Amino acid sequence: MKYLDEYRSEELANKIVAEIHRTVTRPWVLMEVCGGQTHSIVKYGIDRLLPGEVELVHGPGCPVCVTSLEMIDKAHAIAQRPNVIFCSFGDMLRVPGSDGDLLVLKSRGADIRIVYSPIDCLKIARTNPEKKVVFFAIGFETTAPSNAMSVWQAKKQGVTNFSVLVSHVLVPPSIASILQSPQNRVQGFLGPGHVCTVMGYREYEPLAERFQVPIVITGFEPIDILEGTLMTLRQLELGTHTVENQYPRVVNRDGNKVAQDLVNNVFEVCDRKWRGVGAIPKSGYKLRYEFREHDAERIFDVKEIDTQEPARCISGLVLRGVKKPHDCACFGRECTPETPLGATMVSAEGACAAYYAYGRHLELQHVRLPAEAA
Amino acid sequence: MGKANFGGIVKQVCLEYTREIVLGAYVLVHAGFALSKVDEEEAARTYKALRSFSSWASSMSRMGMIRMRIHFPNRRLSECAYDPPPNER
Repeated sequence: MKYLDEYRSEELANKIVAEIHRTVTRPWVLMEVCGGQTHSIVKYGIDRLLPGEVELVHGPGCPVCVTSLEMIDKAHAIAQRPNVIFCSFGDMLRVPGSDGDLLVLKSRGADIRIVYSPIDCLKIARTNPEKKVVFFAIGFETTAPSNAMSVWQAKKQGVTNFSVLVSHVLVPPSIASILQSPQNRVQGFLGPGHVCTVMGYREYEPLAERFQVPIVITGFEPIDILEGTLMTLRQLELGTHTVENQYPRVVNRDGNKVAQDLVNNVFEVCDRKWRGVGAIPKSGYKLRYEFREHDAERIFDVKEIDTQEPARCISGLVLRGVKKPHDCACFGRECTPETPLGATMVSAEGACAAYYAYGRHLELQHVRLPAEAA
Repeated sequence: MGKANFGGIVKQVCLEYTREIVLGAYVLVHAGFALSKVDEEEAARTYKALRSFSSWASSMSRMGMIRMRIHFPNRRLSECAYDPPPNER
């Protein structure tokens, strides 16, 4: 397919890998922000093509993974109410809350539906006027324009039985939070290509300056990731720290102004709790007051829910790049995509799920077995 | 709204955020919305720049130097890119 296949060329990948080997003179730790990039890295084995000095750690950019347990429990509470049709993106259905997941609720009779786009929910709301249709509006800046449009259209068209449970998160505050952490090891970032399609990359420039880290806005195909890695490593080796754009075929500095305007009309910035990470100031979106009639949290009056994560799950450390999936004793054993302990194993974009899908748990067993036998 | 062809699968997508696009354009679609037009000139320019990496680099053994660095040297390079066969699970 055009603009995809050429960015998967093995010949070109080998050229860039060789260039990376030539560039690197000392150890560096880079973080790819997006779950989509993590998936590509593990799928194509990109981390294993890099010099031993270069470590890639996986970032928090998986929207399903970072949606807080409280919010998931609220979603479950709303989905169980009578006369509710609860709509969600597919990968949210298997995320464990405090008590089961949305699929379990569906099997118990709740009307839970998977949608491709939030706009589909408006159609469902119009054809079911006697029901309340709720959409679980999660995601980063990339998904915000779609979710904002659904609320905007609902208000404009008078679809009063449609509401959204908003749990939006923003990338720049999470990068700041990682860099401020005393545990931080990250020295350079592969920035989130698709988030920047919407937002542009102006807001990353003060971050690069303040924390003296290179940030290279990077795409998702193997060639993109290798080139983004090379660009970041070149900056690190030279001691520079600017924002560069590896992904100019879809990203520009200003982003999509039309989308930003609508997002700003519908949402406002708020503090947000991230699963495994904790509360980060000004790191999310909530609905503006004018759209309160479409705010599921207000309509259903779900109270604050006290929640507890499984103590054995290290997904919080994985999401902050402090640990890797195979550092967890449960990875590939008690915790698998069929029986996930934490969100990073559920979502297709989660680091643990990516490691599992591409067989790294098998290597782990291979390595562990002789020691266990002894 | 418009129709987008995802390598053979045709779906309706909202074009409200990419009003400038014309029939036949390549777009980036997320959750049913076209968010950006693929800039063909930029794509061609980047690709050309990438291909022009030094011949020194490409003449280096394709597997040799690269393969040494792999953490599991007994696995073939190409295996890294594939799902494990079901019988290995």
